Amino acid sequence: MKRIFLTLIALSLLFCACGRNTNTPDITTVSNKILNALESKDDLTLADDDFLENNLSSDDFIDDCKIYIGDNKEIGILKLEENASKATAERSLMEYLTNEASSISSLITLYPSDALNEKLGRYQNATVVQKGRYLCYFVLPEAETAKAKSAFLEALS
Amino acid sequence: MRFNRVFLCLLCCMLICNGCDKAFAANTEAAQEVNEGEKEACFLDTLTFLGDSTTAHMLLRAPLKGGKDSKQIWATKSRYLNLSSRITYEKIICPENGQELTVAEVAGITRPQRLVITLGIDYGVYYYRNDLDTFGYYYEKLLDAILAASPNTNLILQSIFPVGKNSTVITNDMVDHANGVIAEIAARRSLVYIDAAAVLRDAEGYLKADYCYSDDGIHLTASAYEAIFENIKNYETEVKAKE
Repeated sequence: MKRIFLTLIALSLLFCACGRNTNTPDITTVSNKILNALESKDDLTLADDDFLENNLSSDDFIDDCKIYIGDNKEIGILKLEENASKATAERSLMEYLTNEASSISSLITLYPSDALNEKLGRYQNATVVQKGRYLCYFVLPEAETAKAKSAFLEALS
Repeated sequence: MRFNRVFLCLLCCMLICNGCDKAFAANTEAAQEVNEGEKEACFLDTLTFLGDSTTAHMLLRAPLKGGKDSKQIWATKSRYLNLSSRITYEKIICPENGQELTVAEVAGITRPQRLVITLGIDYGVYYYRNDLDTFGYYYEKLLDAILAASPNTNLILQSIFPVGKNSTVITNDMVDHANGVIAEIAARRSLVYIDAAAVLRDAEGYLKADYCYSDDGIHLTASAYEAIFENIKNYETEVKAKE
């Protein structure tokens, strides 16, 4: 009985340690996998820290982040702090995406156009995916979103 | 008799010389006029323009050298350019190769001597109407990005143009407040600030009806662009003094 008990403790400690070391890949690996899955990535520009600071109240929950901006496209890969509240992070991200959609709406009142309507639709229907310590969002055409999401999940599997 | 001949010869010579002097003077004056004309035309030709839709429309209606094929205009494919947090990521068409690149990338490739920036009407003026610090912040972020890529470019900040009575969303109060920010940035950075408002406004402060190209009260006619160009010529000495 004692032996079984000790074995169980040892096993549980082992699993516990495994759980802690989830082999979270670094953000460059994740972002490269996503970008490589896209048809075209040449038009995407990596946003600077300033963009992050001014658009996402990130200090509390983001450990590292890469946001790629293109014409009517955007991809955000956020690596959360280890103890960050995923709900808070997701709420902040949704708030950012809503603000972007609202700013595009106000532009449409000035310059109604199909291109802007399409852009608005993409921000309104942005896909947000969370896995492990990563929170990702995709403002892409539908087909590209599916590829990016799949690459993201694969990178973290 | 012999004396008479000598006298007549001298008289003829004097008359001929006098005629030559006058002709020379006339030619010199004409040459000076031509040079003045060339000088003015040349100054405008040395300018590159970056901006939102009011700048993009210059390709269609402004008296540019090269007309629609002019390489003096930096604008986006869609023609609008938003002054927002993503201003440094917006892609404009590079006049040199037709590629869509960021403003800084185009600046790095073309390294313009003088760049006139007229920015804000498409978006910033309205969106940041209650947050002028942010308006100024992103305006300067763009300036910094351009100068990092092309340090010797003489940046010239032109006021945002006034809007007409038809403008339903943007008001001239918003434009004036944003222009206050731009003028302050120019003064602080020792850049030339071109005030275009005075030549475009009517007695009530609106964009003159003759200058309104479209019902939105924002876009400009060919005659408005002529007035803007005439106004810019007045800043030639000030612009050159910064170089």
